[in-house]
Amino acid sequence: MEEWLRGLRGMILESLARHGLPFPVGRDVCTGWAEGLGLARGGRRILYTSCMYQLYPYVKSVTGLLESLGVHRGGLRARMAARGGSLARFLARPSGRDVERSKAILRSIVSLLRRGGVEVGYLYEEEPYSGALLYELGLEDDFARHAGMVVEALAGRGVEEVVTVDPHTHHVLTRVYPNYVEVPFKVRSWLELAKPTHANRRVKVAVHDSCLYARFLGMYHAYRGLLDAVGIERVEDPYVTGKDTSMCCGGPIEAVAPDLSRSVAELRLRRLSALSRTIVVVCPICLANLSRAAVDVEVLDLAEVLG
Amino acid sequence: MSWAEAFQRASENAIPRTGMVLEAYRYVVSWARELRKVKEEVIRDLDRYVEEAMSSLRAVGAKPYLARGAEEAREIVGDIVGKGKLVVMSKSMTAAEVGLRQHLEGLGNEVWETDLGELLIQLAGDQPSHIIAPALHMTREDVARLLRERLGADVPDDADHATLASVAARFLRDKFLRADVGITGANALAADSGALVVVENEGNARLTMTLPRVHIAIVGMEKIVPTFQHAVMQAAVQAAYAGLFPPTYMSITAGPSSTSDIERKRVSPAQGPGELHVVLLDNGRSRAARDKELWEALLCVRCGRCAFHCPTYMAAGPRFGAAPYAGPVGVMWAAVTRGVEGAGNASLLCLHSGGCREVCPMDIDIPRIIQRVKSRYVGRLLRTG
Repeated sequence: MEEWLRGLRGMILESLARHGLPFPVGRDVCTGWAEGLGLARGGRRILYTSCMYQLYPYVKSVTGLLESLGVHRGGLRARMAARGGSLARFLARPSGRDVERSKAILRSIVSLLRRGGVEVGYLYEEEPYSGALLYELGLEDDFARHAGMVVEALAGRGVEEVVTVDPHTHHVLTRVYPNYVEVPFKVRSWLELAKPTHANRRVKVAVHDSCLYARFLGMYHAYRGLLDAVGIERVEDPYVTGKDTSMCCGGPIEAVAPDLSRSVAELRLRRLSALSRTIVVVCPICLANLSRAAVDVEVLDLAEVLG
Repeated sequence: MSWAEAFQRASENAIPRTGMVLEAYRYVVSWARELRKVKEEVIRDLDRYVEEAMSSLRAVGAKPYLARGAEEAREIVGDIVGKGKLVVMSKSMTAAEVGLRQHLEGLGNEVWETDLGELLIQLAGDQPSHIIAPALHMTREDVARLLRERLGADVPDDADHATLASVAARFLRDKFLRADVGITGANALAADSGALVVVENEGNARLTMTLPRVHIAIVGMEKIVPTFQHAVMQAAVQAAYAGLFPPTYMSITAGPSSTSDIERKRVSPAQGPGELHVVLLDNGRSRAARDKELWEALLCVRCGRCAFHCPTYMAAGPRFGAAPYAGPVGVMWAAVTRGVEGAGNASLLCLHSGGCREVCPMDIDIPRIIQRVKSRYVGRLLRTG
């Protein structure tokens, strides 16, 4: 594990230095979704994607790779994977369908914001990654340095308000950054500002909570409210979707224990699928990890079901 | 049956039952809040409370000892017990933490765990999988096989739960009657009065602490609370948040047995033990009390509720922790008793889902503590490489 952690850190830091992203993929991966949307470059209020949804197809494919390599068990394969070469090669092959989905999700978020009268700018290739992964892996010093750079980059471009699209970014910006650096801009979630007018799906859904939204950010009702607003019926069970029982998708340990991460996802899916065959998630990590393990159930992002 | 299925069955029983208990006995919820406040005070001033508790124990005729580490605790108890004795133990995680049973066996004593789950663990040569339900990972078929193989019991694979429990009860009854020494833990120790409170349902702890002539209690320092009232509260809170309320037995012991029935002159012993030895265990606790990030772990009353709300424990079982401590509190207790290195590997598996924090009676920010353990562990690991 020690060897793999060391290698993983090396890969993440090298990728951050080279591409500004935690994985060895080019920056163009992050910006393609915004083509033709007419989003202003920068501005006082920006949509801050932190490239999270754009990376979900890569997270999904690389986790499968790590699992098959058995990196967490150490040994020769872990050493090879940690060198990054083979990882990068496999990383370049996410599913095309997932890539298209990630773009559609972000485009939908922009249109849901516009329906609420909220216009956002976007930093395109200048948008920094939040560093959430560093924090979640316990790489505190690296995270603290990175957080400082992100704040400087955003504040330096005159940003006064960022609108986040995922719980990991929202959590680090609002709850973790302030431990290391002064955050001079306002942080809001797209869930607070979106105004959906209709449902894209007419099905009963089971909500898979984001741990961070539900239990760390007090937003357990926020996405439920959006589903209710467009008449999407939720199937709830206090022992499956309650605030204290909704468990986790397993995503946060996908890099250190991909096999265990999959088990958590499978156990979660088993309970959710007893409520509905359509599961709605509100986080790109949940989308990656649950859809990686899903059999005979549909895992949709909130922004895909709201119109 | 897999671990995940065993977990599922246990949580389907435990979660609703605990919810019903807390709904029916609302006052226990306010006791938990009050308890947190006084426990914070004890942790802030731990040395003074240890001193007060030891002095109160002396005042009621008990013999207090302070063990700084696991080895010291083993030696103290080993000296009291000696060799060639029959020793019965009621379930104590603190005794397991210091490896007490194995030590006493090594000295040449016959030692038996008397809590059913703990006895099963002993017979199987296993480690506990949950802080209050040590044999959570065994099915009744596993138990039947174990009792056949290890105790020669005539039980079929499909024997029901009550039959299996009665086999163990019959086996243990003879041990209780012949035991020289009884060893228990404690759910609370009142600093003002030296009263120990033990909560249980099987009746084994009560027998362990009353039948043998010598009673030894091994108690983690964090179990100290200011008063007798708080000690009862702490045991009640533990039972309620474990979903076992009212508990069948709550035993209060303040000193060896005594009588004052002849001319009101108080003499000891009477029917119960003539000696009560109380070993207060530090083993990392006073270091944790001074640690700005870990201190909150010492508020834990060890109800084990958090484990049923933990996705990593659900999927990984007791390897999320460090034996004998499993689950979210297991990682926390491993950090207290073995330092950050001892909890580091498990901390990497934490999903920080936060379910544990939602249900903790002491409102301990368990995910934050584990995140801090992880961050320190990873920091040291990468620096030393």
